[in-house]
Amino acid sequence: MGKSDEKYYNFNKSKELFTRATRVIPWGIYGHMTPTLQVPGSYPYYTAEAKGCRYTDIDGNEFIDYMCAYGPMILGHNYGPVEEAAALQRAAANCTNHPAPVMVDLAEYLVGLIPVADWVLFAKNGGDATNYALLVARAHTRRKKVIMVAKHYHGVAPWCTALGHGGITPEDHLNMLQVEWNDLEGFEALVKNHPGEIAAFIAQPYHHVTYGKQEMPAPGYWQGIEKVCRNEGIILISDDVRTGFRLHIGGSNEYFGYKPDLICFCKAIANGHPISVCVGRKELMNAASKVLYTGSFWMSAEPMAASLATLKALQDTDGVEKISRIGTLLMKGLEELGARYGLEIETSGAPGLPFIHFKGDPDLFLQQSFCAEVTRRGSFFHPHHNWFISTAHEEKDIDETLNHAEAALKTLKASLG
Amino acid sequence: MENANQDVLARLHLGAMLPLLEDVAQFDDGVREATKNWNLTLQFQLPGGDPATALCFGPAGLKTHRGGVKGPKVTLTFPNARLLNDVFQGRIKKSPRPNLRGLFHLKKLMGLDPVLGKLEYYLRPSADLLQIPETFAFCVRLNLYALAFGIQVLGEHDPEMKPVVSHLPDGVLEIRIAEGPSAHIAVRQGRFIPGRGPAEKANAIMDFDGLETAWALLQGNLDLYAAVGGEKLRIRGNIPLLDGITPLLDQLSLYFS
Repeated sequence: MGKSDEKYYNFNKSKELFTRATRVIPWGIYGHMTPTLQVPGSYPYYTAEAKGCRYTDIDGNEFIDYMCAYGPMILGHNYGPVEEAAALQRAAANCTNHPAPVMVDLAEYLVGLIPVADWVLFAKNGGDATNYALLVARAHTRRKKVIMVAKHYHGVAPWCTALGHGGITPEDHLNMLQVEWNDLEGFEALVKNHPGEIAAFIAQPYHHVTYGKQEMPAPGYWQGIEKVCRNEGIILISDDVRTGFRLHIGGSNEYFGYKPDLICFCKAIANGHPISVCVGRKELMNAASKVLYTGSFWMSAEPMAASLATLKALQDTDGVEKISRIGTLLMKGLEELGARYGLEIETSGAPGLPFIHFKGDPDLFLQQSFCAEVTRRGSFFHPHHNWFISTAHEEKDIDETLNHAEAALKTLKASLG
Repeated sequence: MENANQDVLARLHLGAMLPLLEDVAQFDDGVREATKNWNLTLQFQLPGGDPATALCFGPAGLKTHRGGVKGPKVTLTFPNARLLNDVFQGRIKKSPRPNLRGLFHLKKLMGLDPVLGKLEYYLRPSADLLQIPETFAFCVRLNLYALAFGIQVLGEHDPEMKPVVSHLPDGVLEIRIAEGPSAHIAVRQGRFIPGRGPAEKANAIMDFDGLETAWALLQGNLDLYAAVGGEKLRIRGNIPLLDGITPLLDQLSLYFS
């Protein structure tokens, strides 16, 4: 335990509500927000309210938010201009028999913003966009097989969900091939072994996996991949759902210097409003027009207005630069604290999506304890997933978090003897 | 059931359930009394001796050997997996004939059925039996060991689990039950080494808050995610190892049901 004057949070109301939930909802809270991926007992389960880079849970505990709803809240919670744009559109028209003009406005804006984009298709979730990208690639190439990087997350469709999860069959993966991250030679070999069969290569811009150290692309990796794809007529799909707009306003591929044929965006594109997009090069627009793809709420206008306001705000405020600067402060601060307390903290990933682990802690026991100790002091650190920085985070927030981290390190140090 | 599944089920009977007779003999006075003067090694197997499990009855009690032993006094070789499964599941009473040396122990073999019946008695206990706290605790322990041994069988022999196992990281998973037993399973490059009791060093830990929660899991009636969120089950360490083993637990429930 820490010093006696330290304030620790309790989560009694969260637990009570969760108990009710387990009676009527599988998992209680399912999917990526399941408490299973955190350290139950030290984490909140339900949100009461949120503003800026902070939120309050139903027990009244306030947190500095380093998950940003797992990415979407790039400008912070309840960002005024975005909420106003959304409210205006909602008051005018949201879900009707037709799209609203804002759909065209947003599409044109995205085509102007994203160097690769010549056209745009809107959906709801990241998985909608990645599934669509595969359909377009197959329609364009008339090929079946797709290469993906092992452990990269592209949603929960059967083609990208590992065997062993309920309902997934080996047949779901029949046309999927896997290669390790940064393995250009392995990619080339796969292509060589399947001549004329590969429709697409889909990957995240860099290796941001749960539980593991984040890995940037090796020098020349993306350029090599792009070259093979061009030579072999393989559609290159960049899954920028998680990373989009935190490395580069025009897509993370611009940051790393490659030009995909299709890019999938979601999460940060509308600061919490539900919308995803797939953008593509003009050469694929004809194939895109042959794919039947739609959903009940995909034309809703409110998220489109929110998206337009979000992207404009990011551009106007140079949000990407701020996120990178603040993220770097946090990463360096944690590294310095770790060194001071003899518990070496290594950081990885882009500053806007940082991840930490402790040296010599391969099973993450220390990391789990540390993140739990920090969280119950008021800074939400996920123990297994990369974190997210928003433009609402300020230096004073980082300072406060580093105080929480220092107290947590003292506690850990004491417990280790 | 297809042949591959029959083979896996036979391996479960011999590799995950039969060895638990050792625990039953320690717990159950009747079994201990019935076998106290049995001085023989009795091996159950399929043709070729794989899979096999040997029961060694001696003055110190019963010891079981998964995988069998060399030169057992009595060998019961089932002609095929289906027959073994039918016998173990009580669908037919026709046990295989013992080898020649076994003929000298026919009387003991005649007494084997009720002894083996105790396995079923504790592995699938009646509701009444579970009302006795000491017996309930034993049933949990027995089923926990069955789970650990069963994970090995499925992990190494179930074709359906191969794609899952191929992605499993190496490490040791320890399963602990508050005020109850523990078991562990080591994974080394696709091989599984289960054991009773705690591990020397665990890479991932499952801590159950008590026998009731553990029993729900062992009966395939626990929403794992809800249990973790509700702090009935605490998981720590190498979560991908635990995640990777979970499908084996689900598959085991199917076989055991």
